[in-house]
Amino acid sequence: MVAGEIARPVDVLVVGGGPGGYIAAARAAELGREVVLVEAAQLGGTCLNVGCIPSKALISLAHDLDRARHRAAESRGLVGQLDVDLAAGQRWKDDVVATLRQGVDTLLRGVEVLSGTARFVGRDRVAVEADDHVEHLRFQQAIIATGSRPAELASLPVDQQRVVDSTGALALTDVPPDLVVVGGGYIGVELGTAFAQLGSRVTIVEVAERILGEFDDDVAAVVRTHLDRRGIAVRTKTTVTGVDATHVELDGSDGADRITATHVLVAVGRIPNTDDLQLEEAGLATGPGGLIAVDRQQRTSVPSIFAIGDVTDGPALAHKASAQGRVAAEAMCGEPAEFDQLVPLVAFCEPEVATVGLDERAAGAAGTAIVVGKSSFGINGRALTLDDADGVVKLVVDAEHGFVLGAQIVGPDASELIGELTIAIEGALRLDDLLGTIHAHPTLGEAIVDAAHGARRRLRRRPD
Amino acid sequence: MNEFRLVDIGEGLTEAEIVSWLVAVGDHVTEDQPVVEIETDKAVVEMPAPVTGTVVSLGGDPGAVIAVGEVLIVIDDGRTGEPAPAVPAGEPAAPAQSPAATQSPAESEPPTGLPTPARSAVASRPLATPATRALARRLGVDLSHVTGSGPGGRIVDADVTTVESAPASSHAAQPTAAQQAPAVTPPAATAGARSGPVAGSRITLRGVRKRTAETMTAAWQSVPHVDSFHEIDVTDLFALREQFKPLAADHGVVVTLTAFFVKATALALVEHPILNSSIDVAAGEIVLHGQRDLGVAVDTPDGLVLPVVRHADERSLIDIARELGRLGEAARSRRLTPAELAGGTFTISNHGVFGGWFGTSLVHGSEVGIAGFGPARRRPELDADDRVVARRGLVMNLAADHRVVDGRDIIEFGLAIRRRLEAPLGLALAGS
Repeated sequence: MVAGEIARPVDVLVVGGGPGGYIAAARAAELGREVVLVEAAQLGGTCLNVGCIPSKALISLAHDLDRARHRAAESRGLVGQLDVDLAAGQRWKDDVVATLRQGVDTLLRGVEVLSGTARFVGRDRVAVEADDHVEHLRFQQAIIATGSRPAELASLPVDQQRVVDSTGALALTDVPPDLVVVGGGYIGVELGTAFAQLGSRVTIVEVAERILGEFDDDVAAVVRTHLDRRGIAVRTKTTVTGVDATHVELDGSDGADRITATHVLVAVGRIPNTDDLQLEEAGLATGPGGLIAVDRQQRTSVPSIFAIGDVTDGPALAHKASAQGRVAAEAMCGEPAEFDQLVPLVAFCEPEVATVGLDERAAGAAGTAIVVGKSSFGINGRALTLDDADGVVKLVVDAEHGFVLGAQIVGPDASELIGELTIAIEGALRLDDLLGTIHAHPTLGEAIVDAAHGARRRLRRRPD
Repeated sequence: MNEFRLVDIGEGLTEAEIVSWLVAVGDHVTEDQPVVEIETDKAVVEMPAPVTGTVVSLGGDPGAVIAVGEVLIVIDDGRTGEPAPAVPAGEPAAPAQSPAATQSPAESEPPTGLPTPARSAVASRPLATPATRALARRLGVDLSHVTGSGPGGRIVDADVTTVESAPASSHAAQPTAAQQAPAVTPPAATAGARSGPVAGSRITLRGVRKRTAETMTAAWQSVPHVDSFHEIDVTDLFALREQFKPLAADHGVVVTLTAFFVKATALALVEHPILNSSIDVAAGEIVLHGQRDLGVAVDTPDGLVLPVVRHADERSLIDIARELGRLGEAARSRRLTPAELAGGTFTISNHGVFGGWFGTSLVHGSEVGIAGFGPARRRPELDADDRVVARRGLVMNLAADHRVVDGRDIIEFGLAIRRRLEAPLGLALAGS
């Protein structure tokens, strides 16, 4: 036996240092466990390094520039020229990421962090491969939190120069003149909009019938109107068939076409990072799409191994991974934790989109009797004074007692507003609880009250 | 046809009261599905169906008392006919659901190896806040079986703590515990008990309350008590416990003061075996017990229960602390088995957790002694040089059966406990 194969005993092993893994590791350490976390790249995972945080930095930069330049600036009395230095913007973005990464370091003070790639070599063992050596660990319990990566298309190999994925797009230091975004999901729409605001000519190509398939029809329609108004071309029911030095070839409902593309952004979803873990060595198998099946405590079919975040079913979102990480850490310490919460979905497109709980489609499918209340930001005082008054709030309410079951918001700061309604649903609040709560004036949150009034009127009108 | 008779599920059970039926005549039941809650003198226990079949008749209405050996339920285990749907009244009819799935633990999490995806059907969420849901998980209560008393049927904390039925395998952490041992569930909520006692109403004496009334009356009437009170300085004990905490945490254990009390009392019992005895009045003999099994009073929403720490004198402090943690958790989540409640030889009660200063106690069951510990308080003391110093102290009260134990015995026994608690390092080193 060579020295490298002597397995070091480890209490809790966390594989992956993203928002699922680092929360799980910190919680397990807080509960008195000895925790080792293995990270192949940088702490913070996709979210902090190449996802949520850098994209929101870029999006807010683009949003501010656009508002100052175009959004009826002159009519509001704003005069003068404004330009963007994207390279400087990238440096600012990097500073933000560095600050937050320090926060993760602080959170993991009681955790041993190993740099390397972990692969299972048994039910209780992993081999961690670093630059020049391999270390074997024997764990009592483990959490798989390896996240996901952008999916690729065989017809569009990513080179991170001209053909980029979301990671490459967030690192661009020059504004691409002609950007073709392949994929009309929330990542494609978010980044496509941001680059259009920075000055790119943007085309979004989507294979399905409409963009933002993960969201409610009414919500998607408002975003689509904005894309049209901004001059972003949207080609639905269309696929990319090829790419050459200057153009992209399309085939779709409008027939074959060829459009100019200095850059192509491939944003066709994400795939879980489970293929390289040698899960079979641990006695685990993946299901459809490479996902790992878990119970409500995030436990896999091997009781000592848990899985959280993007490698499990559900939306690939940081806050879902963090919540599951907490559950897994507590469950492995014998606490009766379960992942039973709603996961709000948020997209930072224009305007912002945020939803939680039941929408009309899901209520219909489940046979739940509901009423829906709607309000428009067009009559909201704060939205009008922000010059940002497009959008709606929809509340889905239980028809019998008025319990709030779901909410869909498209409009200014939808991502912030959804928090109130997430609490309302988790807290089993009813319409009259929302209506009986004073909302400050003038604020965007008053749109929630207006939607609640709308639902209340419909509730009274019901024959029973 | 299978007649299911009441059997003795605990030590010396002779009769039990039917609390509630979980099934009705005509229901299809599967083997090991809980069918009835019965209340013994110590706990409410769910009884599982012994066979798969259709319920033909029930042995009595809720409230009826059944003797061991009497028929509790009759189940037709023939394979004829379609099982009748078993959707409980008041629940919306579920389409084409397997009858067993509506109330048997079989519907919830698979043990291991068959993970199911996290719930996606938001429409079926229980109407309860995250804090209430966490409480339910802690107590092992399946919220889909709980009727909410809040506005519009919202489930509030009180609904969870007084819930009558709690299929035990409802969370993944304890997949099969229910099948292995009868689960102790809260005692029957008498009508109106769900929202707490109501002024001007009457509460039926039953179960734990009834048993307490009987045993305390017997103890008061037949046992001449002798009492003794001791002031104990626990300043060093507190300091030692602080040192213990990180060490115990390494073992995943919280060391409470009660663990020290148990250890000190058990060792004092070795020194004073007369306190660890019973009186056999018929034979005219005192029975000295060979082992020190300490009943420890645990307050639960359902009343006082006394799970037993076996061989307390032989166990290490960490081991006792771990066992106390396990028994306390089991008591609060209604998972104590009758065996865990039976056979104590001495009782201790840490009533200091409720405040007060000191109290008196009555001996329990066939035991001859009980120790009560009051709250540990900071107080001024005079040191050897008559200077006022800040110390921490508590009052311990002892009660014993005077037929067996004299004043001198109980005082010396009290001093033996006190000596150990005031020099606590010896406790930490004692035991395996």
